[in-house]
Amino acid sequence: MMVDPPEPNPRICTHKDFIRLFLEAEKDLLRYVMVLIPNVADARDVVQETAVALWDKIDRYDPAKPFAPWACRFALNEAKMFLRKKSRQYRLADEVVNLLEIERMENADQLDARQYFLRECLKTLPSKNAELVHEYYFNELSVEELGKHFERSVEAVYKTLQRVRQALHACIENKLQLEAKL
Amino acid sequence: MREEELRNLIDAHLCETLDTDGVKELSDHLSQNADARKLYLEMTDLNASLAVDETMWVTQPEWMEKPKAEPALPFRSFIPWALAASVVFLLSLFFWPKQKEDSTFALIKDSHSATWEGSDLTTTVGSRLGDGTLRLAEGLAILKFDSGAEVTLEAPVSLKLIDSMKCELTNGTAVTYVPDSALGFRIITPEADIVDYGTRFSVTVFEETGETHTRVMEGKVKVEYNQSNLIVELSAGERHTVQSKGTVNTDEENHQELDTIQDKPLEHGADWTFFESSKGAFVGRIPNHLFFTDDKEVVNLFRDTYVGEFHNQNSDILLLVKNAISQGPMNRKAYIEFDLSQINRTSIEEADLLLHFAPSGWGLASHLPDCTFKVFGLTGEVPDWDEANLGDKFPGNPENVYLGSFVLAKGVQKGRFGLRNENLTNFLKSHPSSQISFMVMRETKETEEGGLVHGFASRRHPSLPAPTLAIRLAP
Repeated sequence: MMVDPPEPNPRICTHKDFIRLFLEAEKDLLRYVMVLIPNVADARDVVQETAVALWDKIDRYDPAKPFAPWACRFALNEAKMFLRKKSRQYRLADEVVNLLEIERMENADQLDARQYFLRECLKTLPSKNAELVHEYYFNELSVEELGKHFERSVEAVYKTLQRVRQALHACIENKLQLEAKL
Repeated sequence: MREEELRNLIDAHLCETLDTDGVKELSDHLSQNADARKLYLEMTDLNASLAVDETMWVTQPEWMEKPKAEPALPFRSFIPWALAASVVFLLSLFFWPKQKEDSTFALIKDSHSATWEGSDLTTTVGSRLGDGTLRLAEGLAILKFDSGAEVTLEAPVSLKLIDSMKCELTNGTAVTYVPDSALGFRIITPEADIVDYGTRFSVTVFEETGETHTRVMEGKVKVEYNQSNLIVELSAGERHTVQSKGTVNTDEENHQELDTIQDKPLEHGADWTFFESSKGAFVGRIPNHLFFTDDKEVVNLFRDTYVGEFHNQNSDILLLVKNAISQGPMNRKAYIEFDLSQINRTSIEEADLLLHFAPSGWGLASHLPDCTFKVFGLTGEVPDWDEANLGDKFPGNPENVYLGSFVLAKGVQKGRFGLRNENLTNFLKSHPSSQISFMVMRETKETEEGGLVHGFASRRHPSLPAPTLAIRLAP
């Protein structure tokens, strides 16, 4: 006797779905984790742990809802677990971490808007600074390596990176204010 | 807490340079102040976006020729086959998002005093390289291709990597060694392809004119012209020039634009006085082949240079210094003189001789190790020498007093160097005349012929400071 194939259960998240969803959310997860763990290598480790935790809990995920916010909570939880392994003197107080976690989720849209303008502001950097920032963030050169390449002291590289971040922040503020006036 | 202090604390936190007191201070402030937390979130998200969002860098700023391959794409491409594998295995793969093994074919084997600019490839020593462009602003860098070919880049140079048997030189000099495993290794230039048949050779491309100079040290190469079907075979010791839209065989070396120097500020205080050299010349002039190919004209130029009618030449702007394998007129030593008649030399407390080096455009930096330069003071029978008529031997029979040395690392062609020691101070104080001459020579010989000619700015240089004596007198 022939039977019709069963209807796929929309609540079941397959391997394929999971991989797709995770890849789509990966950058956002890293951004969330880096609120608490600025070091990108450490943040990647944390997101890796998050992936394992998510897969363990995938049966609780409702595919009808956005994946990223659900996953981000796991990521922040993993980040806090990571921080607990660090010496207490070198980490922000637990209550501050909790506040930041909540406010990060609440301010997600504003921060996404800022990220949009960051792209524009990057183009306005002087070429030498843009190159240095590119090497630091994209190619992940250490401050020491940058110092060697650009023939500057480590302190000078730190200072330049700081100035560039401040300049980008100010540029974003300006663009947001201009946008608000339109 | 002022906002600037908060910003500094947050930034130090991003760089992980905060000490325990700093962490506590930041933590306390964040716990009490919502605006501080807002700023903290904005700054950490800015930092994170730059670090993790490769698409930030896709839109090309002016200093990037092209964006890097987007790291996420390779992982997306292997999703279909990955479905059958375990999730853990998959995750372990895609959490190395910048992995590029599949597309790389060379690595940076070594570098010397290298400064890169706007390269779209990673430029740390040991980095694997795929297709992309390297731009070396200063120093030397050695690339090892998977084929076995080894290419030494001499700044300033731009090289586009295509695959393990091919690269494109658009500007500057590349010295290539090709073992048997890489026979047929090809360097593409705007005017010709240089194909190697197991050898060592150098290629220089002049970006503005498109000229390509090839020089074979060992073995054979073929130069295949782009504009015609002409193929020229070169053997060891031979040189060849492909001119833009034409051909001329020459026997010349290159000549490049001089760069201005961005040095650290001088560390001398207000109590120092500066004296620029009153004379500057070098012995060991040779005819400048670059502009004159006719033998008669070369001879004429040679003579004219000696009588000082060509002060606008590069050789007069830079004082050239060289120590070749073979002895002869190409071994150059520089002489400079200072007029210190305006000061009481017995009250000199400290002195600093400052020389600004710049690329001469002559010879290959690959043929030299770290270079030691020696400075001598001239005393005894020092004649009133004529800087326009120095010839190939310094006149008279002066005594050379060794004062000290300095080193230019391998590949370094520009920067401020010099001497600051007690020998120099005492020499200036005790010299019988207030017209004081020095000789600068390179102690280090080239390792093979055609090595770099170093040069430092003379008082006639249009942009670089003249040789300078900085002197601090007793109050």
